[in-house]
Amino acid sequence: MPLELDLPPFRCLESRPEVSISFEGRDLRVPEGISVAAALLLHGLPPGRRSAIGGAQRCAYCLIGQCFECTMTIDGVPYRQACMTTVEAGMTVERQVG
Amino acid sequence: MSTDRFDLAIIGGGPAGLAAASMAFACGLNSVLIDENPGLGGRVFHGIETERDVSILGTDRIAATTLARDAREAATVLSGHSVVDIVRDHEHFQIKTLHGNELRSASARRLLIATGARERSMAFPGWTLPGVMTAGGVQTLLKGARLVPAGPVVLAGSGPLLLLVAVQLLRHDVPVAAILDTTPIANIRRAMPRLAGALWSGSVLRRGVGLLASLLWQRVPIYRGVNTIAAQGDGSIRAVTFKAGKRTHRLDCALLATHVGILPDIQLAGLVDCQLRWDASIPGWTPVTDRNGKTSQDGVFIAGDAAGIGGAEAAPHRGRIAATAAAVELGAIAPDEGDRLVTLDRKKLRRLNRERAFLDTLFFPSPDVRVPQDDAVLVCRCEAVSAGCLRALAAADVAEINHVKSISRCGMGACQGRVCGPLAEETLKDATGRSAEAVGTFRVRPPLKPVPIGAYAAFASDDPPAEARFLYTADW
Repeated sequence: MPLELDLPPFRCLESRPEVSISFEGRDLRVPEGISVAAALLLHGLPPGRRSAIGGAQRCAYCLIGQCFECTMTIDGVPYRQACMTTVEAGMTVERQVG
Repeated sequence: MSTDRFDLAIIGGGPAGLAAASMAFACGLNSVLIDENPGLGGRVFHGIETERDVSILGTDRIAATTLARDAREAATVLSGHSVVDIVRDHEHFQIKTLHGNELRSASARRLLIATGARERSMAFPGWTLPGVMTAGGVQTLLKGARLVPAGPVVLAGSGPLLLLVAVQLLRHDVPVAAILDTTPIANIRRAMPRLAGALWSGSVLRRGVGLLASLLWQRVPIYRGVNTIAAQGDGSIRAVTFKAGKRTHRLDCALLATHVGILPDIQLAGLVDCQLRWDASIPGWTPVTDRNGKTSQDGVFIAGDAAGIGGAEAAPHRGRIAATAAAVELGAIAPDEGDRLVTLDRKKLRRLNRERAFLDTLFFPSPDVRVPQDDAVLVCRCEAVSAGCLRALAAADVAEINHVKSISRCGMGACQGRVCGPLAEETLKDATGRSAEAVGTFRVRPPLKPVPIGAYAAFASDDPPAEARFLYTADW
């Protein structure tokens, strides 16, 4: 599924062992131990909800668990904070409206 | 479900909480350290337990590694646990935490809140665009995941963290297009009388001078007296526009990092109904505590930045003092023994406070960063409530913030006012001329994080029901 949004991708300063996660049906290879928010930023994808009011794509803003802009459906559970959740092999991540 | 019982529950694994855990152990207390991050260190020492090369970010992080290691030996550590509710159950506090998708519970006779600070937000046109982040957030990505943006990055706002993040990005070859300094020029004159005291007392100022020198050396453009910032882009940020003096500028960027100082994280203090006061020097709401961090709520202590901004250097001292006071209350040690244990901590704090007074004055945020100027700017990101909406309510004489929340939904979204609270308060104060006390602050309601309903269902508790929820006695 094409994503209408792209952010200039972040880069990782370390090489770490990788795991696979699924984002909106596509497989992403990401360093283990990092947050879901960091994993998506690394791929130039905005970790965040779509606003229930107006539908605008939001993106992780504070990255310390305060702003709830990065809430996503993770392993089927909505409203999980991508910045506070560590990636795990086989994890599924989807955008939510919220 | 059985509940683990402790003498002391320390919430927050930053420098205050870590030092408190070690001191509590030294006083003979059985304590639990609860933290929502995967590892200890809090925000300032984020990623400290997983860092491969501790030398990268300086000597204080090496000291913090020891602090974290000691805390793990001193207390039962619950990492990845977000506190979602606290109730009083007879002589105990029952603390409900969310771990993954599961609710757990712990109970303790005393509570020590050490949840630190959060960043004050600056709201301007385009601040909800992907690619606009807090400077603290950018630094968290660097410290934890070891991620840096591709650049070019523009940093905007005021305060030591802004300079620090700029230097750290440059060190990793991230292009920094400019620093937009919103510090009011008049602050410099006001802060000068406090400079001498500050120079001899702490390290932030000395480090700050070093950072500034480094930025000048690397020829990063620094614009002074900046206002009217706007993020431009469709879908994500592409450029930032702003005014410096009379000129309007436009700079292309891939990321805009903003920082206008930090505020005590008062979410837990509000949840357990500790009395708050308006601290005009920050400016912001701060829990009322005595010199030991004891609050108006029986059995509740607060240490570190959560009790009022004192900085990372002061936090361990404040943690040790509060843990000792809790141990004295529990009868684990005698009062004079408690005093003896923290003599040096108190001495160090007196020195650090002089530096804090200088920093608070120099980086006091200007009204135009505290109050969104443009009516179309969203104050509440969750519920998409604009500054204009709040001003319309103020014009209709609705200016008490919980009243405003009921009508507009401002602060009613998932963040529960953590981000918009200070912005909404300042907007209402500015529009009506009322005092901070008259406008008030958002009441905190559990759960503090979204909890799946299934987690509640699975939490079939054998515990006796809590005797009573805290009574909300505040008159606002």
